[in-house]
Amino acid sequence: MQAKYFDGKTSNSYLVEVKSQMNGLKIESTERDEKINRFWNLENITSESFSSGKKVLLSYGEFPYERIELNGEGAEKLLKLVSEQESKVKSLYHFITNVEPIRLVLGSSLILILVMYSYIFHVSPWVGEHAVKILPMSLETKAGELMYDNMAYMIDRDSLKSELLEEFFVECGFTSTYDIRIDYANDDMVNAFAVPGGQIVVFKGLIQKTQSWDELAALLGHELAHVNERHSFKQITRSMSSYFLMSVLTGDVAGASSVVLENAANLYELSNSRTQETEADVVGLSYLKDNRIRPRAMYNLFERLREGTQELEDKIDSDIDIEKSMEYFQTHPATSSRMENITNFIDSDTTYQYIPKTNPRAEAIWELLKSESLDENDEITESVTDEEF
Amino acid sequence: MENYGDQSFKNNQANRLSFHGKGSTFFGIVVVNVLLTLITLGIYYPWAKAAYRKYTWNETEFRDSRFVFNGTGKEMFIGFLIMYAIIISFYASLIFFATFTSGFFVLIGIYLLMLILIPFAIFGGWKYRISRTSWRGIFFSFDGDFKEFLILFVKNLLLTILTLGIYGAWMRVAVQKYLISHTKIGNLRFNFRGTGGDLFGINILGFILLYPTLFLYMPIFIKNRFNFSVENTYIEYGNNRQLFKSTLENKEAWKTLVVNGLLLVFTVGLAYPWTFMRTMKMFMRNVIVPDGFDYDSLEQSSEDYRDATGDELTDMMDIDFGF
Repeated sequence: MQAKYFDGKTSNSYLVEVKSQMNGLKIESTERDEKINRFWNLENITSESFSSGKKVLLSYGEFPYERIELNGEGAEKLLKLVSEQESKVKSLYHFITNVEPIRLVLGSSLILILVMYSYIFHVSPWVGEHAVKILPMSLETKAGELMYDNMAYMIDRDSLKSELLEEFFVECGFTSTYDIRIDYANDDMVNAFAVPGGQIVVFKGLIQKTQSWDELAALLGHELAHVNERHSFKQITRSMSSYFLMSVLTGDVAGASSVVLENAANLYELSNSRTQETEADVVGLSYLKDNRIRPRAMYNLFERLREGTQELEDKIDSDIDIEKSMEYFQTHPATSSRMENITNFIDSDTTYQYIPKTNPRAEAIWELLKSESLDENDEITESVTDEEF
Repeated sequence: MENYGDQSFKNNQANRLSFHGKGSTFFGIVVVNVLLTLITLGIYYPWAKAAYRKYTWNETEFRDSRFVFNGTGKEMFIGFLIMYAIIISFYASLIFFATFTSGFFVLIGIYLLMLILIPFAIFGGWKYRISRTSWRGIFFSFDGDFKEFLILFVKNLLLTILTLGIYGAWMRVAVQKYLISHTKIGNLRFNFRGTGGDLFGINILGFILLYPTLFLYMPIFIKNRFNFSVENTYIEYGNNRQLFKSTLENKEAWKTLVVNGLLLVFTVGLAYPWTFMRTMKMFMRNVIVPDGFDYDSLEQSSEDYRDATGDELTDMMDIDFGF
């Protein structure tokens, strides 16, 4: 077939006839006065074209390369022949650039969506889960301290009641490899949270809501599970790995497409924190079992939480603040479904059919915690020991 | 008065560049690149970049022949490793110095590093891209000297800082002129005659009009910048100097770029491969290469150049050669 030949020395093009032979290409000039008579060994030929196969460029040898340029049907055959001995990746590009446009767009969109999906929902969480194991515990404690120091000014800490809470924790029989510190915050919020490294904060509002000591134990069990399972850190490493995905994509593709991904990742974060909550519920329950504390207390705890949010909801309704209620909706995913899960879990596992132990010391501390004002003069330890006898 | 030749461009379609890229094909390449980059946790990136460039270069045509990007992913990967080695060793030595000198000197060290790295990135990136481009087997080449460029860069940067950025337009033109005037293909040399004053005028106009027109002036601004770059570039051989010509007009720029913007917005960016191809087509098909040179007898005069260190750095610093 006809082609243009360039010798690598000048830009002059020579009209040549290309014939494919056993293990190479025979290139001869069609005009007699320009004597080009070359044989290209197949294994030293590289394809230079990435264009849609209409114009094929082949290159031969070392710098300065000889080149031929050809088009038409024969050109595509020749390209196929050359790319067969080239790398798989290169032939993937050749393949891609020659597929019918509609099929290409539909097919590759589908593959891309599948890969992104599995990256966001499978690869990235797996990386997050396992990366956290490499991180030392001391780093986690440090990060936790830093986080806590940053929000400490917002917490109205009651040091006396905090001490009581820590005592309560020990009385329940809970243990951890982390150094657990518990804050009692003078705030009517019905809430509690755990910071990585062992700091737990419980708000007065929630303690006031509890109706028995083991509900408070269930709460601490739940928060302790967050700490022991390193949930916050897992979330950080996970979002870092989805950030990596985004940076890979936005490095060369338009920034706008990252918006989609970012939202997908956020959506994932949300569902992710939900699974972490469920995990903390289950692990918390096992702590209750280990210490022979009534497992249904976990269920009751959520009843109190629901009551708390119900009140909040009523307040919001009266304010008609849509934005706030939306926010509330997103951060408190389905308390009732969590309660249902807990019931199912306890009922299906026979090891939870034990008779709970009584714990008068813990109960006494709980009562003290609930009492509105605690005088410095109150002999806490004595009153507790009194109960014991 | 210098003479840049006087020729009518009207019947000169043969010297027009053209661009044949298709959005769907480019989309396919994007997909392959993204997938391989993900699977290899980012290591594939230099190869992906090579594929993008090979495709865009390959679809650009002059006088019935396509341009070729001869760079490879391997070259760029090596450049990437070297660049990281340089940066890491510099930071390591800074940390070392920080242990016994004051933070002030460390800060000065960081500024000095940036002062060298940015021109190094611009210089190296341009040199790599130019040297790996060929047409009909003849390679482009760049014969600039880094020390010379560094002095020019620092001098211009100081003036820009002293004038609170006003001198920026002059600086840009000085850099552009340096890079273009040291660029050759075969035995033909490129050069640039634009002035900072002209660019400043374009920028001021843009600055005044962009906000009141809610950025609808943007395509016109881009067109002005493009035409400024193209129409001030010329080819010289001996005493023969001929200017490039651009036929890009407001209407076409506006139509192409506004449609691109809408496409991007309505497809949340997924139309990028198509809009990119449309933009390339708009730019390329409006460039007329000067007549008066024998493009069939360019002689190979450059050597093989494969150092992609600067190129990786331009990428990392997000430096864009707008010209």
